Amino acid sequence: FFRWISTKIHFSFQAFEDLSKLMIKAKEMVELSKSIANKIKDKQGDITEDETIRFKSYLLSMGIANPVTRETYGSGTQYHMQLAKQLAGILQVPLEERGGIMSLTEVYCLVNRARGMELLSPEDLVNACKMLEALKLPLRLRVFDSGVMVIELQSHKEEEMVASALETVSEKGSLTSEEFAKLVGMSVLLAKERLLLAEKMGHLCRDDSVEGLRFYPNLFMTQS
Amino acid sequence: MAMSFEWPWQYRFPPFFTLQPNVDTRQKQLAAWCSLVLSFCRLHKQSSMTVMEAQESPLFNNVKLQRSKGHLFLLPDSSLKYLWRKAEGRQQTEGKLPVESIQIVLEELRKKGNLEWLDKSKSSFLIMWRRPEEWGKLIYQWVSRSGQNNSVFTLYELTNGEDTEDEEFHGLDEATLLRALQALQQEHKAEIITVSDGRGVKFF
Repeated sequence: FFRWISTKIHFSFQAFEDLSKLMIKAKEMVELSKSIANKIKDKQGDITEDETIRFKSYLLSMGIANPVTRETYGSGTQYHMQLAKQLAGILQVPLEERGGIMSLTEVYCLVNRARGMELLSPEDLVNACKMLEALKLPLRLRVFDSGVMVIELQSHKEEEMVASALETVSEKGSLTSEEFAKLVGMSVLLAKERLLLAEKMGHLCRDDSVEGLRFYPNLFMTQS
Repeated sequence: MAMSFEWPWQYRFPPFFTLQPNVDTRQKQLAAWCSLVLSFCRLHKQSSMTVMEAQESPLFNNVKLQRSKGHLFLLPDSSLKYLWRKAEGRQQTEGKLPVESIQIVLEELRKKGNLEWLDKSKSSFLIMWRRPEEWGKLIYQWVSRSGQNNSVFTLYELTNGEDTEDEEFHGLDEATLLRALQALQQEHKAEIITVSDGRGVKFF
């Protein structure tokens, strides 16, 4: 029995080495975990409880479903991959409607509201989003310097939006994040990230006073 | 005592009073501050200052800084003006460089050779709009030009004598003068000596 198991486990390690291979082997992995689960049930009399527990935790650490649960896709990487593909489908239109970019919290609310039941945990959402780019889906996860996480359409170029942000700020002389958000029709969180990116790129500079944080065109660079 | 001092355009630009996080922007900002400090001290003939004085001085405080919204224009004469499309609320607020940032400006000046701390606790400093080496060079040029190598001068003669009235170093404060002469001494072009009632210098 254990020799049979060890060959199967060796097989599963190979699967995890290469993500793309895993895609192919994914179905087989699910089948494997199911068959192991059944074998454990059948062999209940031949294996000690201690060995069974050790074995189950071993499987869990490899990301294979706990043989005793009945989730359709399991709780490992494969689940997140499926979820990532689902998200790509759900988020395409909302992203387009919001100028190609949404904060992860907005995504979380949107997706869970749509689901109604079997709500996603924030962890699962993040893990699924981390796979978007690897799976070559038309959206990606981006983390700004501040730690704020967003989902962007692949076609969205935040750096190009910076140029138009500079124009808007120049027109008005100076703007706070709130003022900019209102003008452009963005959330304040994303507005601030855009202004910060513009500052990082050297197009804007800041005025930080008791009255708040304002952004100005970076005259330090443009005037000699 | 602002007299005819012309503030640079940055002085009316609110971001000037916030230390910029972007490294390249900060470099330009600090360069502008250093330049402003030196020209301010030059005009006001201020050769030394305490940090407290600096904090209170108009140098680091623009009490008339405007933060109002409006299109920013840089006029041909390099003055900065706000023009409003409509009468939006005019806010006259203060532009005040925080003391930590003042310290950073002072440190920049020290690195460039224009500033020297006068005490260990860094509460007062000597500010030299020309570096000692530059003054030394000017003085030595004058000495050579007027064929006075191998002459001896008192410090007073150099800075307050009739002969030097037309020279830039005329009226130079003693602390800076001494450092200029020390620089020349290093190059073996001069030697600081003691004369009857103080110090003097011999040029070679």
